Amino acid sequence: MKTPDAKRRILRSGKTLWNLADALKAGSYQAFEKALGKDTQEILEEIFLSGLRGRGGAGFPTGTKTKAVHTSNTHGCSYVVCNADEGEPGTFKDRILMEEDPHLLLEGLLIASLAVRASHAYIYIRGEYGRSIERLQTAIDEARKASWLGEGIRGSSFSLDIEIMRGAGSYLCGEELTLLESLEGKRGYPRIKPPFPAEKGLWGKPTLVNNVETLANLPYIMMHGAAAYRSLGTEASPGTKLVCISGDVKNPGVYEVEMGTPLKDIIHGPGGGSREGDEICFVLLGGAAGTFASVSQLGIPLCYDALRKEGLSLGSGAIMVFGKNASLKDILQNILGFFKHESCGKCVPCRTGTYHLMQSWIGGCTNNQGERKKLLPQLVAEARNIAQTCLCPLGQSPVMPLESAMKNIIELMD
Amino acid sequence: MENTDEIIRKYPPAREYLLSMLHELQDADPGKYLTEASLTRVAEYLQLNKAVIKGVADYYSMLSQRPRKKLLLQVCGSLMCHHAGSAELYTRLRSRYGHHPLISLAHCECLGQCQQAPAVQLDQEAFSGADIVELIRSIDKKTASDENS
Repeated sequence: MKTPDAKRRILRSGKTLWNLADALKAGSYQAFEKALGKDTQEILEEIFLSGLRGRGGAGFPTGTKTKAVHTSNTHGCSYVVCNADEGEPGTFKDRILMEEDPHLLLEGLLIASLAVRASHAYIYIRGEYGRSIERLQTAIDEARKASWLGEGIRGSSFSLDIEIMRGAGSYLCGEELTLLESLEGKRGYPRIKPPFPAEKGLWGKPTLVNNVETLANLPYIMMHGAAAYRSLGTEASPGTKLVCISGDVKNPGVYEVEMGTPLKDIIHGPGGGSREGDEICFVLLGGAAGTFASVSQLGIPLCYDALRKEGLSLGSGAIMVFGKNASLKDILQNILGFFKHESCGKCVPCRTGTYHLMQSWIGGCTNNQGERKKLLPQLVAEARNIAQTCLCPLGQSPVMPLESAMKNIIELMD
Repeated sequence: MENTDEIIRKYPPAREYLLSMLHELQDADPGKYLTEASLTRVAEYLQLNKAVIKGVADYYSMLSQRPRKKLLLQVCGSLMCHHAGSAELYTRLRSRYGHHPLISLAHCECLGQCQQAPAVQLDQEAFSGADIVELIRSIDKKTASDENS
């Protein structure tokens, strides 16, 4: 089942939208052209009223962030950075967007840059995403040639150049302040916040950092207005969300769904439900830094607040479905191993804590099932300590899968 | 093959281009790594201490300061691929390419190919599902001709 066109904001129909000619036929850059005719305040207000929230995982209101950058930009120098460092396990929506429709992202960057009066934007992209890098570079070159980028775009006084910066294999660089460090050519160590990037970002200048999907929403908002955008989704989570369904389902893939759609309708609708002879046992939402949900929780609507109320998270939109053959023991070991590997080592609680969590669990894995069930609460307590004392979101992550596994699906422990 | 200076001078002498330079230098090197000499040149060009450059190169898992074989074959070990049997796939690939003169085999984190797990990546290109069989066939063909040449 595909998403009906009327419910699409981001995934556009068209097979070769990476070509500028085809993208233009599909309506690319019309929203930006409309934005060029507006003044900055109008653009900011439209984004603000749309209620769009950051699609990278945190769900912070995009309009508020954009306004903050605009306000901080008192010296006429600010930057827009697209966070395309998609590394959360189970997440691949940004890759699909960049490979299939790179001009949509460029248009989103143009609108965001216009709103904060930035003349330089960067796309910080995972080094592993070879095809995305290639398609985006072609799109940038084509857009520049057709003067959708560069000096005095479409005869206006607005200029923008977009540069692609390739990451080099660090999950942590997906965290916005760490990303900025990496963009400055440094080790990917997190910065202490505040100050937030909106005040002091790249080279100390006000910087708007947005996820690929967030930026991809801006053309629709500019073209059709905040009210039209709000016609889908819930009051606090308007619009649509790209979800990445993977695991033991019939049709894994990226789908655009209306915010507020119950999880089970997504898994059984576009996801196609469980495979022949299998059944859904539990779900991991939002990636490794996400939360486990039991089958009985799948009636919860997919939106930031309803999930948070249940102690669950939307995160990046990853929905990992596990069937009868899944081993919760192995999955937890894989997650803990991932955090241990990706901890940057800057702060002690995370460096030693993620290592210790992993070692304790491996030790526990040699014991029996009953021991493992008893071990889990101990690890949750330890992970909570790490979360409270560490520097950045990475150390705050392990507690999420551990605690939700303990609360929601401990009876499924093998 | 472009020499180190030609690559470095493509970029303005600003630190923000450090990662881009290092990527390109590594890709162009026959040993697929960052040589001491190239790191020295980068340090001079950016007017930074060489230790700083090495510190950056050390941090990122895609950058190597030791020689690697011609092709890098990585198997995704993250959640979905693990669940779909990436460990078995890795074992199979290791028995085939473990001592291969042209292929370095390694684990890597999520490649964003979870819809078709397990996934592998050969240098910059990702493969998953049925494509892996095809990939093995093409690697064998390619490396056979390279070894003979």
